[in-house]
Amino acid sequence: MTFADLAPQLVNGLANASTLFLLASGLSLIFGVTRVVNFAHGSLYMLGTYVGISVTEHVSGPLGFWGGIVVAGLAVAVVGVLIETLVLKRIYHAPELFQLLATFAVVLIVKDLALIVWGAEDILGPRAPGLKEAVEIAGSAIPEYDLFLIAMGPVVLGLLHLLLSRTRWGVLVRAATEDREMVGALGVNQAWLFTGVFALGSLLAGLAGALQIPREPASLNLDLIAITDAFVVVVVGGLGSLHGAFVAALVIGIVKALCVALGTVEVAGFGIDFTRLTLVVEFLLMAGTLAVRPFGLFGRPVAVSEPSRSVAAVVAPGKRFHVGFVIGVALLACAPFVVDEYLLVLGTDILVFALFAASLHFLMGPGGMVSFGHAAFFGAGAYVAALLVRQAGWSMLGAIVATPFAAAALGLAVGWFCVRLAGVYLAMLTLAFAQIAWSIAFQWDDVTGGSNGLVGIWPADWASAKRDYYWLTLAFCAPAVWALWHVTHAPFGHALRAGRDAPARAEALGIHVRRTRWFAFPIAAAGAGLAGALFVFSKGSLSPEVMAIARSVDGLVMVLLGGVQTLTGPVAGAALFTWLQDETLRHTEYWRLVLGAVILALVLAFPRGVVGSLSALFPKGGAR
Amino acid sequence: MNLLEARDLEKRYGGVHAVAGVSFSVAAGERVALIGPNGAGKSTCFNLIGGQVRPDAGSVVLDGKPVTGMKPRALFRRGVARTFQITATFASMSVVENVQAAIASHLGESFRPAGSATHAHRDAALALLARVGLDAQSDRHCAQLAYGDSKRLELAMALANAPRLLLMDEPTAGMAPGERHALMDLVTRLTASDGVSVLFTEHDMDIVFAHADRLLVLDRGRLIAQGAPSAVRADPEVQRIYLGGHA
Repeated sequence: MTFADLAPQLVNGLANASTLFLLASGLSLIFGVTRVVNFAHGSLYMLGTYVGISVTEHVSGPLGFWGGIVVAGLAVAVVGVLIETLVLKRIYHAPELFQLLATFAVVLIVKDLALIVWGAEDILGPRAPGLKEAVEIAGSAIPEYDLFLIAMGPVVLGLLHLLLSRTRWGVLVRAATEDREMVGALGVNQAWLFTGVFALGSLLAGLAGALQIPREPASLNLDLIAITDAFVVVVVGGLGSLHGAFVAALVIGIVKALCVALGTVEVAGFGIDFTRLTLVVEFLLMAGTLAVRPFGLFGRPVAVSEPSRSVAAVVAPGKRFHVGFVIGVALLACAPFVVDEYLLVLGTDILVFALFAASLHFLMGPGGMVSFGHAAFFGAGAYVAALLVRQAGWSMLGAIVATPFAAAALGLAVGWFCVRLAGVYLAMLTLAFAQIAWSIAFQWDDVTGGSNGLVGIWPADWASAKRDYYWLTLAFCAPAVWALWHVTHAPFGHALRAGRDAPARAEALGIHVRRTRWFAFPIAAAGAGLAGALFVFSKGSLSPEVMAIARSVDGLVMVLLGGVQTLTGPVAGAALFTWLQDETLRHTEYWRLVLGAVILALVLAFPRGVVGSLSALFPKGGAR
Repeated sequence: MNLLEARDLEKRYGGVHAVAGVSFSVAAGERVALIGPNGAGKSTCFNLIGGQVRPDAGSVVLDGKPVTGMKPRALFRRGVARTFQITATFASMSVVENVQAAIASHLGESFRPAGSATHAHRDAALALLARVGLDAQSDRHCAQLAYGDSKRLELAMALANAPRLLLMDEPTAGMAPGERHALMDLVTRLTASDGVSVLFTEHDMDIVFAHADRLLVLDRGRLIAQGAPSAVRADPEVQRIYLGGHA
């Protein structure tokens, strides 16, 4: 391979690195000061792209293009300030997980608002006036706009550096990143500081989105793509470190470019297609970085706080709880005699997701470990079950029974890496593993069917009626949920909680905290895997979407909606979420908007989760 | 024979020689107080013994066997228990469940996925709570306990493995003066009957002189005096540190 082959890809990669840095630096600033993991940051980026293109459509020429970028940046900054003042400001003192849930809701709302305004079709942007040509460097044609972007990265880094080191405001931002309480104690108006940082971070996200106009079309998928990319950069660089984000963006941009440039390479007789790696290489990089440096390249341990540290009393389920559970399951078993087939299908979904949410809760609640990638286990279960039936000729029942074991093995492997980290870093590593799993499913055409997935995975004849499959699902889900609850209140669950509540005390009492956390993974994975297996037969087909980020986010929303401090919460959250999604989908294509608004309303009204808040209102009530 | 022996312990943090060659021993059943002005290296020394911090040099020997750098959980299995300066209990559990978790760990049941942790070893846990005078509050949420009662709870948890050596870092910090003596009387009562050795750090000299058999005085990372309370009290070097400052 010559330099001439490599150069265009390298330039492309470096140009990408610049916008990636703009995006990630905004996220990093916001996290550093407010400690909010802002999932809506990618939505701000997406808005920047749409607004920028809209302006160029109405105003032609250089004014439209360059003016459009500025307008997009400012407009997105305004949106950011609105989000901060209307939503986040009210919940800065709520548990961090609730802030996360609120930002999820904003993602849903922004996505549908964009759909309403700009439609579902991708929109191509114009090329940059004055920078449309290519220049020839060392025999390769290099687009001028790429060179412009490459210059933008260091310029923005320099400006941010000056802002943070030379202005009073910048010093306050850095002080707040180091020690928030200290700044509060010094009499600084925190409210304005937070709003200001949100405006700056949003501005950067909007600019990043708008600057990408000539290079990629505006689409409704940009939000989650952008937020994952930004998270990866921030985590690799180290939370709160601008220089780290810059270096990480460069490294990721270059490595991606190399993968494209390398193409297929023969290694030891095997043809390895590096272009396929582009989908996953940043996550491999992140996993590798975190394995060696648990706080990223330039991060320091101080920046991390555990996202879940519930101190609310957890009361062990008593006899009444068990009786209630049995009665509840008995009632559910009677449902097919009362309700129509449509509701039975919905009921099957609810059961599946109740198990999925309960298994995620096992990690998040007693384990105190937030996973952004729980769909990996769900999806793995779905694929394993489908393949056992399709490729290995197993019976449906055999496949469903075997799946939890396969998922548990995966959980054991993934967990081994994850428990070495804590807090947001742990969450991001779970996301990395989920993306790796997703890209395997997406690209391994021969086995998984690639992006088309697999079809015709129907239940065995004896369970093919909707009613029978509903019962089958209940027969698996109810005991599985009960088992998860049982483990939570068994000595293992208490040891896990002990390690979460007071790690040093638990270690001094002989509890191997890391190992208890590790073993929580296969247990949670088994539950999610079983849910995935039941899911695939109920739908008859599956695609990589089954383990996409969106599904992991759904799981988080279910758990947080119900309340992470209670056992029954996640199950109620799953039912509420699944029902709401179905109900709104029947009446409007804008189900995300409705769902987002409902979640936002619930978060603002019940900052402890639905079940958590209800049981706080009725302290002796049934929910535990 | 001595239960605990620390030999030439050293620990540096950057340029600071927090512990600079400290040797001492604790006999079986002995109550030893580690004292010294702020920054003397008490806490670091304590964490070197308790396994929270690994020494740069030197060794720790427990009952004739080397335990240098061993993790706290491994020391627990060898009969070492400890309480923390800032009271740490399992906030999501009830008082008795805290003790039950400690007992389950002692019996090697922390990985048992079946059976109710709320029922297992409840009687043994209640008996331990009775020994520290907390039995009446056993089913309260532990976050509701008064500060002094949290200290008692920690003590009950520390006794779950029937320790041979109890390490207490500032056991009476943050307590009212009257409560302090009550807590240390309790410690003395609980440990003397079973011949448990106690090593504790303490700021309050009244407590130290009343409840320790022997004192170890640290200053700037070095052991400058040790002996019976009356002898240490008369030591001119110790008087200089405590009364005359460093002038």
